[in-house]
Amino acid sequence: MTFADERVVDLLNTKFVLAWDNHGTVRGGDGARQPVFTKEELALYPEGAGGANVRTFICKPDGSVVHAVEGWYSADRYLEELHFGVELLDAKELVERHAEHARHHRDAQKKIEREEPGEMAKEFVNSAARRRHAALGLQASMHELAKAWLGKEIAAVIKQVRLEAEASGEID
Amino acid sequence: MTLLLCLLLCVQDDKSAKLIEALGGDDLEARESAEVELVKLGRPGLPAVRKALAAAQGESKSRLERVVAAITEPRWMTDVARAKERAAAEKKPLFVFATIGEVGGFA
Repeated sequence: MTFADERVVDLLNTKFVLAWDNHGTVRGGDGARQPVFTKEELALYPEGAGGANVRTFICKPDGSVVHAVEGWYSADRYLEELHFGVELLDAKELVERHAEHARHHRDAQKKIEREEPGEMAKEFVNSAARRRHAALGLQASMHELAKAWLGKEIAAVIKQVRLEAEASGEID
Repeated sequence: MTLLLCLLLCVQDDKSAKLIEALGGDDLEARESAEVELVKLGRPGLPAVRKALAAAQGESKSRLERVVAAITEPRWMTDVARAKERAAAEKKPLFVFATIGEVGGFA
């Protein structure tokens, strides 16, 4: 539901030039396309899911990447990352800023572990703290993984993404 | 403060109403321009646009539908190279959503 959220849409439409790159049809199923999810299905889609199949790149006007987000997130968390990406457009120390953000998320995870040990033993479905802990872990990993793309030119990045998808057998 | 807000909303409504009227006028250039201006007006103009849409027909209806879509949906380009050129020309940052799937499949 992220692109149905008006805060997300307004930020995207006012701040950015937007491009959607569909890098292929899903292998198998006689060239079947990725299914179009209903609102109800998307509401059940877990945060961080989709992994490398769903990537967001925020780039400077010259096309160099400053932030890369992997997976699917709730509108609130996605907005956090978009605002962080906007901050990075004028930042010089991209790697350091991402490392700092990853540390911030890891520290927040540790705080939950320290302060709510009982929650950590619960199932995800029964604990908001456990879900927040997992989401923070995903966000930290995202900032650690983003390093691979930083400063690269978007056309080259898209080419690499397509090659990876082909190599993994996900697309024809 | 409340009075000021009311005045602002009235001015906004008046502007929306004039643009919607121009959208259905005889002058093609004025119709084109009104569509662009309604999109620029953004969400504050949406209630009036939606109200007009309910009664609109033909070209006016198509234009109003485009206005609603331009305000409420991301304005995707599907050619990354062209989007990059546009970003450079407009000096705006570029947002690229890369998926295995069609535009709209994740929206």
